Amino acid sequence: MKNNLKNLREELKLSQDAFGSNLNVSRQTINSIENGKFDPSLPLAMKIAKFFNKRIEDIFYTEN
Amino acid sequence: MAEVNMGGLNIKWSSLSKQDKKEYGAGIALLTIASGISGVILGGIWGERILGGVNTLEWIYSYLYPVAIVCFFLSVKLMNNFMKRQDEGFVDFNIKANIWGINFFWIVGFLVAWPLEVFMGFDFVFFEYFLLYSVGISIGARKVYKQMYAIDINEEQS
Repeated sequence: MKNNLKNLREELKLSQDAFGSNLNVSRQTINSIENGKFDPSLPLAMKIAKFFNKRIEDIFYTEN
Repeated sequence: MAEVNMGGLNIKWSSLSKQDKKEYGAGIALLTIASGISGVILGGIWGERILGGVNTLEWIYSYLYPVAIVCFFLSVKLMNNFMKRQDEGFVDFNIKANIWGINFFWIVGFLVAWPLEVFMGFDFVFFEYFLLYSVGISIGARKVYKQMYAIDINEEQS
């Protein structure tokens, strides 16, 4: 699964660490989600969407 | 929130909260004590392998064995408490590494160690089978670390 988390985070000028703290996850978890190495659970995806005030499908998407 | 370092082989101590440090530290200490005692007893390290004959301290086994069991279950309880507070990325990392450990244990144990024991007369004991699990989880941790965190793990992307 792909996502545009990095762009959204950078728009807010947040570091991975600060963003992770807001969501109560580690910097490493944010790093692996941004790089497409780890797909977040639905609750975490919802938290992320809520944080950016967007829908989940606006942030996470599949290539096809 | 806990982070891993050393290529997945260790937990970054500075990433742990005060409570994490207490529970994780105590859990590791108790597990080490339990492993040490069970290694002595089940591994026969303190038995014929060293003494080469009758073990005059065998009577102490029955007193040490319950200590090892209590230490083990306490460490499991502490580690569970610790893991419950961690995020899903860290939990996922540990599940994947543990699957490697379990698979390595049963595949190598079943295909190599057990036949050597049955057909070749090698004397493997519980302690050595447990080492297979440790080797497996170490290999798994390295591989999962590379899969999950290979990109820019040490330099934060701002």
